[in-house]
Amino acid sequence: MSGLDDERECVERASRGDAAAIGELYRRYAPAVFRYLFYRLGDRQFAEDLTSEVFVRALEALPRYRVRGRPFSAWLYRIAGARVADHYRQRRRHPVVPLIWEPSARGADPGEAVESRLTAELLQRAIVRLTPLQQQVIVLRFLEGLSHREVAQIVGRSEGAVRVLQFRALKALRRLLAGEF
Amino acid sequence: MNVRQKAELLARSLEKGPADAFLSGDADLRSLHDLGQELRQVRHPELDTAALIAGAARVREALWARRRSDRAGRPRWFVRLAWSALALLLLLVVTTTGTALAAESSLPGQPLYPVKRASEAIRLALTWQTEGRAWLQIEFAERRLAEVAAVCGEGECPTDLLDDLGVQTQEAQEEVARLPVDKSAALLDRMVALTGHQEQVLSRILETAPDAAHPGLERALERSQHGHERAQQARKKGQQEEKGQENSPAVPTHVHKPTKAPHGPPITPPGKGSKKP
Repeated sequence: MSGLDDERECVERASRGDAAAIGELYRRYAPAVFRYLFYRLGDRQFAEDLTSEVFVRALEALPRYRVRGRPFSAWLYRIAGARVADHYRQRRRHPVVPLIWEPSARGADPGEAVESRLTAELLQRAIVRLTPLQQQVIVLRFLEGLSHREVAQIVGRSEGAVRVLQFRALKALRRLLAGEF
Repeated sequence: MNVRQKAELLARSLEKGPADAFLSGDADLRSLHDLGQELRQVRHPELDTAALIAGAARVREALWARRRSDRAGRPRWFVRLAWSALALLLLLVVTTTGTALAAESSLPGQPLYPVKRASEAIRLALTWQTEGRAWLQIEFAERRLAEVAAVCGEGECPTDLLDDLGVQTQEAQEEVARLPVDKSAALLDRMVALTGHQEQVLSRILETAPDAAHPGLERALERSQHGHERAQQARKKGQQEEKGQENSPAVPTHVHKPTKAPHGPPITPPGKGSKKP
């Protein structure tokens, strides 16, 4: 049985209220959902809380979920993305987190600066300054390792549009990390 | 190259590499490619085990809540509404019951006495069975008697109070009379006891009451005596009927038994035992 078939069976059992299947889906996808939320929100505690909330929402919506050849994770990312959007909407604006960047990096070659200083914390602080779509593309493509097609399914754009988004997002991220904002 | 072309090139280099084959001569694209590769190397924060367990517990709780909700077969808004209504009712019951309980021992003329009477009216209105209503009417008649004893024992004996006693006793008797014999025996016993006690209490009050109160008390006493007689008669009649039912042999259904008219001789059907003129 392939991974996708296994996942499909698990999802079908979960949609019928099978507690073991729901637990399996949670164990399998909670870490990835957490990473996605962490990078997009910039708050570890909040990301942890929201991770379980995403699964609670998914649990409520599972009876209406239809397997259409897309990975289950794509659906979870969509729910997580909607929760992030809700969060930002509630705050009315994007959080402005000051990016700590050492002065010595200014004016240096962007590539070198990134290579030497890139950490999860720094990256996260830069990511929250991107547009919501750019955030999703960066997190899903590079941090979660999804393909262009999978990202396109999650964000609801064409693959070509995702490639352009990726290009612009990387440029914006490079600028942010180089301290040019 | 326009943006789209650059984006396509970058995407291909990131997916297939090596970068040099696609990005030779373009430092900007090469830099973006390197950044993308670097992003893949970042050590990501992990979800704590404690947070993972706590989250799992939350999801499990949501699952149980959904199962409970499914079992109830009602939408959640209904459940919430029902709980709200129940809480409100509870609050109402607690507050009103407290007042009603405090009013139980109140006497005519006291502030809580109307609450006591209203509470009695509600109890009566909520009781649908005749037997239950009869018991309640007797209980209320006993209360009126206790009130008369308490108030009239102080010296004054308002006519309204005595009238209330008479009316309540009569209503109790009428309610008992609606019941069949097999269900009214205990009630009739209680009724006899009540009216007998009324006579004793009223007689005692009459002995010490001021002259002005005598006419009202005497009328009340007469009503009470009359009620006592009626209760005794009804009980005696009930006992006789019960005894008759126990002693009478089984009557074959094909034999026509003469029927007794309420106030006259037995009615004999024509052609059976009667002589033609």
